[in-house]
Order: sequence, then C-alpha cells, then structure tokens
Amino acid sequence: MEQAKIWQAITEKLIANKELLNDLDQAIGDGDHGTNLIRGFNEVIKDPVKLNGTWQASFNFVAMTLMSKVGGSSGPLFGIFFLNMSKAIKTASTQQEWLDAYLAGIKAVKTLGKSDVGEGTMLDALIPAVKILESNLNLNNKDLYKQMALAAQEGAEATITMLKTKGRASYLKERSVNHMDPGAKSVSLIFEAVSEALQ
Amino acid sequence: MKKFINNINDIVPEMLEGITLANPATLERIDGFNIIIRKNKKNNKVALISGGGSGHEPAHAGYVGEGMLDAAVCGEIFTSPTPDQVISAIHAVGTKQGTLLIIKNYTGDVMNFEMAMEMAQSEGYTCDYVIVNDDLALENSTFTTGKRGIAGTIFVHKIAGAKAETGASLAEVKRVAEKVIANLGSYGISADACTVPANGKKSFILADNEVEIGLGIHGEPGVAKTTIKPVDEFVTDLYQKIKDHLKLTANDHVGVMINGLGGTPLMELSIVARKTLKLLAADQVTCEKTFVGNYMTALEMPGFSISILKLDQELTELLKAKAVTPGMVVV
Repeated sequence: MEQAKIWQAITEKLIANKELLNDLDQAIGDGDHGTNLIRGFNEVIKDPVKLNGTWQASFNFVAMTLMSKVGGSSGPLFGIFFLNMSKAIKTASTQQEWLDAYLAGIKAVKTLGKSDVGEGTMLDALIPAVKILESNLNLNNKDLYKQMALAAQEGAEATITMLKTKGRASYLKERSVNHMDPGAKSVSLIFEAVSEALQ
Repeated sequence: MKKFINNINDIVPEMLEGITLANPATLERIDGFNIIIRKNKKNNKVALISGGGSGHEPAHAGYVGEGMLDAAVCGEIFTSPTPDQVISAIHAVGTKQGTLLIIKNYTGDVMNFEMAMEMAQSEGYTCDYVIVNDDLALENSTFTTGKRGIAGTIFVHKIAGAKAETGASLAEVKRVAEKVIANLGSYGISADACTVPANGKKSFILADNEVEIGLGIHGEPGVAKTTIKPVDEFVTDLYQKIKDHLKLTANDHVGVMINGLGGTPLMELSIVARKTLKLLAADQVTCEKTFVGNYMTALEMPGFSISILKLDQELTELLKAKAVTPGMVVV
C-alpha cells in the first residue's frame, strides 16, 4: 500500500474525531488538541510525493512537518516520535525492524516528555499497542494492527482513572481524574486508522 | 461562540498585523512568521526574546520595545510557538552579545524553546534561557510538571529588559532574571471561564455563586472551587499565600502587579489594588511600584491575579528604569 494512503487515512480519522479530541482536551487542558494535530496532518498530506518515498523519508517528512506546524507539546512529542522511528526504520522489511523503530520512538517521547506509563499521556496508548507487536512478530499486518488498535484504545480508556502528572492536565491535580487523556486518544485513533486502511 | 473575528485561522496573523499597524514607529513583523520585533533595535546589547501562545494580550507582543523585549514569538491561541518560529526570532534579533529566552513553565513552551535554542546554538548563536514559575497555586505539588509561569513573567521582561539596555553581558542579564524569578510569587482567581475559539465552548462551567481559585492563564479550572465572597477576603487569602512564600517582613520593599485576566473591569482591579496595598502597608512593607491593569490575560476571563516581587536595591532601580512599549510604559 502506498504510504500516502496511510497518512491520508490517519488525517481523515483525526478530522472525523476533531470535536471529540477538543472536548477531551477542554476538560483537562485548553480544548484545542484536535485542532492543533489536524493542522499538522493537513500539511503532511499536501505532499504525497514526499510521503511515497521510503518509510524512512516518509517518517522524517511527517516528523518535521508536525514539529513546525502543531506547536504546544503535541508538536514536539509526535514529531520526535516519528523522527526517531525514521532513524531506526531503514528497510522497513521485517516486523523486528518495525518493533525497533516503535521502541526508538517511544524512548524519545519518554525522554523529551520526562514521562512514563501510568501518568495519563500518549504513552499509555502507545506502549500497550507496541507490546502487541513485540509478542506477535510473526502475525500478518492485518490482524496485527487490529490488535494493536484495540490495545491502544484500551490504553486510552485506562487513562480515565489516572491522576495526570504531566503537561497541562497536571495543574488540575486530583480534578484530572475521570477524564481520558486526549493525546492517548489520538494515538488510539491513529492505530485505528492504520488498521482500517489495512483491512 | 460570539467573537469579533473574521476567520478562526486568521486570528493570530490579523492580530499581529493590527499591533504593528497601530505602532508603526516602534514595531515590525517578520513576514511569514508570527513574530513581532523591535524596530530600530540596538545591536550592542543582549537580545531578549519571549513568547508563547496567543490570547494573553498585551503579552507578549505588547512588551516589545525600549527597555523590554526585542522580539515576541506568538503561537496559536494558548499553544506554544514551534521551534522554527523561535529560531526565526533569534535570527532576527540575536546579537554578538547573545540572546536570552524568557520561557513560561509549560511543557510545550519549554520543549519548543529548548529545541530552538539548541538548533540556534549549533548555528553559532550564543543563547541561554530562564524559566519563569511564579504561580504559587502549584507550590509544593508533587504531581504537576512544576509551577506555571503567569503574570509575574512581566516583571522578568521588565527587569531583564532594563538590565540588557545597560549593555550588561548575557550572564549578568540572566542573573537578574533569575533573581526576579526567585523573589516572585503570583496567585490567580476567576469568576468564570473563557472560550477558546478553536473549541467554541466555555472552558468550564461555574454556578452563579462559585469562583475558581489558583488558576493559570489558559482557561483551565483552578486547583479549587469556592463560593464567592467580598473581594477583600479573597485578596487577604491570596496576599497571605504570597507573603508566606516570599517570607515578607517589615521593612521589605516590593513591586506589585494587579493583573486582569481580560474580562475584569479596572474598577474591580482597583478595589483589589486598594486592599493589597493596605495589607502591605499594615505589614510595613514598602511598595516601590504598582501596576494595575491587563498585563497577561486569558482571553475574556473575568478574573485577576496578584503578583508580588521582593526587591533589593538593584531590582528596584531596574524596575523603575525607563520602558516604552505598547503594553507597559515606565518613565
């Protein structure tokens, strides 16, 4: 499948859920997570030629575009994730290589955000999804991404009961509980879009 | 949502265009970037750059000018600017003496400004930064990303700006900026939310008799909700928190800022100023300079914050030094 189609599917999925993402952010942040992320992805899909080179080039282009268009904390965090995937992906021909790329991306997000699982962030959706890949290296992409999307969704749901300790949500202290983290939700939507595109 | 705008996507560039058209002698924009710089900038001084999300007007573009900032980098509403925007500002105003970035303590601001600083340094620019964290509502909190930077940031712009204007080195300008941050405390309160245009809805809902205390400048709820009472009682509470933090005692000297969050009439801010200054006088603390007005707003929030800066001789002189910007004039 052409990579541009995957990025298109991700962008459309985020656009379809813009209000949901903004509303989730409204509860514990300032209400524009969807708008900001979509501004970046809309720029990404403007250039299908750049997206359809190697996966390495594609991730690099997406990373740089998100970093220069999104702003806030989502821009650098999603940007550094794809940037480090780009550095690790090389031929993109084996699941092991994809796993290494995801792990490199996660490591960079952890370092930049000074965060880890359980703090109510995008990592709480990302890490469970990548764990599925880690333990199913021989599964076909269609079934694999279906399971990864499910794990990401469960991870996003799990942020509801968490006390948010990173980013703007943390300023609400105990009042941040009972709200889903919008960053975790957008990660789960991204996996959902990829899974649907592969079916 | 009812707002006097044309198109949501054009709010920031059109606002910046308006600011420069209204101040043609002192301000100019950089084409293609949401950056306002000082016209006729001085090249023999440390450059000061601040910024962050828009929606805090007159912060930050309003503090560009003589005695304060050399450039303001303006992100989308309540969203920090991106690294390439910050780098463009460094390119535009950075000098041989160096550039100091004044960053408010928010995850996005810190990440984007730090990334930009590292990239600019690799290009050969001399850069350093300070992080302002004056919001006492989050003091001693073990599960936040630290105290936010709010209205007290303007004291950092003012004093670091005055120091830079004297031709001081980057290390010296950073030293006074850090001295301000170490001697600063703010606390905010609001009677209602604001509406971020991207979302179009009020950021939180309060009953008619409720207020949010300990809030920041992004329309988020505070650390607690309480019942409305005469403002003198709120001022006394907030003052006490700041006084404890700064360990204010008789014969101390301070600067005071009573800051409106965008939707509070000057009438109410003046009543807040009245009580704050009376409390300081009762404690035999000398107020060297008082600012009352909208300095760091949160769109149309009907709230205010009190900021107090403990002063020594050096900070007093720098606070009283000349500054002429659209958002603050000290002569």
